[in-house]
Amino acid sequence: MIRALVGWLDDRLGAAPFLRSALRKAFPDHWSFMLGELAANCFFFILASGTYLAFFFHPSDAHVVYHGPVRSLDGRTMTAAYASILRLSFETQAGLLVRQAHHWCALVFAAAVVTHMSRVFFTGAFRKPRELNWLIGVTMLLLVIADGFTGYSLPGDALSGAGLRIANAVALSIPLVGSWLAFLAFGGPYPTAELTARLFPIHILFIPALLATLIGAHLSILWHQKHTQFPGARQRENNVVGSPLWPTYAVKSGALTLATFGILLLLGGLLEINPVWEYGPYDPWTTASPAQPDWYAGWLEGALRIGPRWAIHIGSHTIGAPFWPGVVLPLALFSVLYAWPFVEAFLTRDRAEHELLQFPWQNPLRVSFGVWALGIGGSLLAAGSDDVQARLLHVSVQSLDWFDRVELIVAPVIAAVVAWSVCRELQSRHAHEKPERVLLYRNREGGYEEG
Amino acid sequence: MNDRERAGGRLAAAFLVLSIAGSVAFAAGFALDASTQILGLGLGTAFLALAGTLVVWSRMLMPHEQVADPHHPLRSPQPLRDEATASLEEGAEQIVGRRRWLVRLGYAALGFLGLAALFPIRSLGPSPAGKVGRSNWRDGLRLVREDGRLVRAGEIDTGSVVTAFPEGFTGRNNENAMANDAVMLVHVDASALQLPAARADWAPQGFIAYSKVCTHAGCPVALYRQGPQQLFCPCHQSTFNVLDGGSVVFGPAARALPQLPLALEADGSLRAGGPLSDAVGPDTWG
Repeated sequence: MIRALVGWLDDRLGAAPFLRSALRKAFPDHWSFMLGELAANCFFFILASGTYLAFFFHPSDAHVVYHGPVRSLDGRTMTAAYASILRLSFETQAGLLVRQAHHWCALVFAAAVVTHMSRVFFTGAFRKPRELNWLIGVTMLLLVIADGFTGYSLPGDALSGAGLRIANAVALSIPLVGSWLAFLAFGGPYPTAELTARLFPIHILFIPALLATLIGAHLSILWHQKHTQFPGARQRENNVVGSPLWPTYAVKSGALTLATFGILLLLGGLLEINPVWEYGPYDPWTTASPAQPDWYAGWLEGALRIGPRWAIHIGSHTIGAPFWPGVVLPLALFSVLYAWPFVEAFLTRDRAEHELLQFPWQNPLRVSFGVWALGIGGSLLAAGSDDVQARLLHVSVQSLDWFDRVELIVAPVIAAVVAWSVCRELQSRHAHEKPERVLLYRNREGGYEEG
Repeated sequence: MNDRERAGGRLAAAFLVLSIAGSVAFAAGFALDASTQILGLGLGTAFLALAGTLVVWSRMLMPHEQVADPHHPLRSPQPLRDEATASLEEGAEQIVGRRRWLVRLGYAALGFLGLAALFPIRSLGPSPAGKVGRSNWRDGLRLVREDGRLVRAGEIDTGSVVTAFPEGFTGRNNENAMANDAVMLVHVDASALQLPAARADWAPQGFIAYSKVCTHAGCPVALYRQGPQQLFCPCHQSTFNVLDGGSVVFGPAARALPQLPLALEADGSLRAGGPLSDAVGPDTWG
């Protein structure tokens, strides 16, 4: 049976040599190498669950009067989109399960991408020859954030409306083209009845198609370049040591895929997320409080909250205050992310190919920069929910805002300095370590060979 | 078969049975219209137990095999690189050759095509000229509530607040107007007001109104703090002074809230004494 199949394929594709080597391809066994795979699993899950949801969702801002099982909203005027979310949540069996699992998946997806990128960053996996895959990865992070934002903007609830209002203000603040940009993107002065219909194809078609293409490119390049690996007894610059794709790695990888799906379904079933019926339909002159976006957009929300009060007037023109935290900051951040492999190569004058990873402590400069950047992101994310924290801590939002501003400048620097000294300490310890053990095997002739 | 394999086999079997139980629970739950929790628990268990089976399989039932792939340098031998470069250059030369002016014209054609392709973008929205930051408020328009009922001064106690709109601009067909026209009408103690001289008569008997659209990012400035007499935006915490003309007390907003001059009618209704004092909503290039 298998023989026949292999024969059939080989007759048509000449696939036997490829199969022979591909099935024995080595996949290094380190848990952190599974993070990228976790992200890929999330992509498949979000595609499948999203397709199911799209069957029930009506991407329309037309007004309808709701009559249905959600008693508190019975008789309310809302968009057709919001009404369809209520229907798929409460009148479609398994609809709420899929919807919540879909939302959880977006949160886990973005987290998997960020942790995977952190692993790649802190171990120097982005170094030559893998800069291309780093660039593709940064682009995918952008796309995941964009798809998340367009996704939670779709339901037409109070929270998604507020998010879009802020996005509109950020667009308006851009010099020269801001007002045109905002009017073209939103179809007129905010709010318009065009938005859901416009966001929908971007959310379900355009960005996912780009992501699928880039994932394909990412994996093809990975396959061709082969994996990096941590240095070890057998691991060298000129080999890759690990489990063979078939059967060992395939079984492990399958386990991770199934576990991802299982956990997302448990989350979707047991933990309520984005209960839009509690926020109510969006009336643009009302607002929800507290109002927090999903975590992957939370750092932008935090930046807008503690951002400076800088509106620049040039003649009769104004650059609005949201421009700095809403446009300049993310542009700067992603520029640094895109540029890092080249910046580091330039700083270290390192043009060599690297197949072996570094342990983070081997490169204190990189580690302290990475810790600083993550610290900035984390501080901004924390600032994004300062109103909730203020309530819990019984302090005023004002004083917490000021704390957050100082913390944003100071804490990441302290964290970076600590990371740097920890790396140096580890370096000096390793310098005094006994040399690496070498395995010697006795051969048939009675001599010894390195294993 | 050793003990470990026997134990692994039993464990894998247990996981597989658990997975089947999860699937059956999900299907039965679906058929019986069970709660989302039960559906999630069933399907999640089915997947997780299968994952557990595979973990057992790889850890206990399969050999721990390690392979080492040789890693050849990606860089090709120099002659190959030269050949590839030469092919590219020769091809380009065949296209361009001595037809340099034609090629330049070709670039120009591409540029024009790109420009022409931009034109359909214009259909996406109207021109922003004169439409940013405007509201329908003008002299004489009476203040109404969300449902169109007149705002009566007598209904608003000192220290309370009402969201108001210009009469004739409410209802579902005016959603865009309502979003930009909304004002926060606050009733404060008139003696506490510290308005600039030019606005001395804008708040009759302590009825004072400000645009509800935050000048920072456009969120509704929906929270009124009676103690410090502030309007507070829940999105980014911009805070405005109710008593002195809406100045920014705290937060990222760079501009005071536009104030609506008010006049009190004999019948207790309120009307606008003029347009809003400034452009509504977030700053823009204009």
